[in-house]
Amino acid sequence: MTSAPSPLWFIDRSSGEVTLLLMSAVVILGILRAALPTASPFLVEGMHINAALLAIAFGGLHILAAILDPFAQLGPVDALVPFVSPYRGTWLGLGVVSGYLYGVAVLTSWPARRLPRPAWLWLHRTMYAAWALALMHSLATGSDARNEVFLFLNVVAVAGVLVAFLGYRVAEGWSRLPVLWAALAVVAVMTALGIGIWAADGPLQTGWARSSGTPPDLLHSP
Amino acid sequence: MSEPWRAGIDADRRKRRRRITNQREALRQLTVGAAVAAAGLNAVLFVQTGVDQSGAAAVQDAIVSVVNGLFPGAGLKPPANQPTPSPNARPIATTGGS
Repeated sequence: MTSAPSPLWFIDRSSGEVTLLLMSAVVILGILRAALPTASPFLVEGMHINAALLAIAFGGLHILAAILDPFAQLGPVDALVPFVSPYRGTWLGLGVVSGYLYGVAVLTSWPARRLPRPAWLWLHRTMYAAWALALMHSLATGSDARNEVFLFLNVVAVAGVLVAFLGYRVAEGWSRLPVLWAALAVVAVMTALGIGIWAADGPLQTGWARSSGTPPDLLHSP
Repeated sequence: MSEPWRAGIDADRRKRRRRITNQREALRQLTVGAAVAAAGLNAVLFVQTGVDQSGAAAVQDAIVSVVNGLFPGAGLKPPANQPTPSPNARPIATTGGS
């Protein structure tokens, strides 16, 4: 077994973080498109779609690097079947599930929306879950969750999505269904707070590598 | 002889077509900008991750390995040892004084 990370491991980590940021941009642009339908619809929707395609490209690089890298010895099965990997199985599994949910949101929108709008809308909302799971996957699976740069980028991603959701989506829906949108705003804030508290108590603590399920022969230090 | 109302419609169509062309160009530029920014950030995070986990020398080796993987004929090699000092260099006191 390889004992030191290879360049592919670094590519895996960097492309994973870039994918999360692109997914955040996709969510923010989707929120803006829904909440402000008359504000440059061609540009906003175009960037929403193109950022989604860019996220697929970087996500593909992330998965490919993870499979090819000899450090964690991951295989195609680990990339396709959630929660079976010997390397941080639970947390890697969240990334796999996130990928499938992202796939649902993209594939039901492309090449043309063939579904009735209400069905498409509900399937498209899986993107919120895909994004939240990708964030947790990033914090818990990444071997550099405590790195200041990665942490800063994750905080920016969460703040951006939360501000867009509360400032535009909730504000727009409030006038029509105040109770529903108030409840959704509470759910969004609680989810963000919950992930923050979990991260502070788990991935950002020393010893997370061991408790998260890293195989013992890959651990550098206790 | 064209009617005045037809001239108005043609002008509107031209204006709409120009607006669509301008928006397509803006979208193309934004997309290219986003792709370049994402690739640049990926490179920065690659170095950051490597330095954080394995030190600068490991990152240097990793970059050389990636370049050699992408361009096998490049023959890029990491420096075998530290650079030697210049032969006429005068020693500079770095400690002492009061």
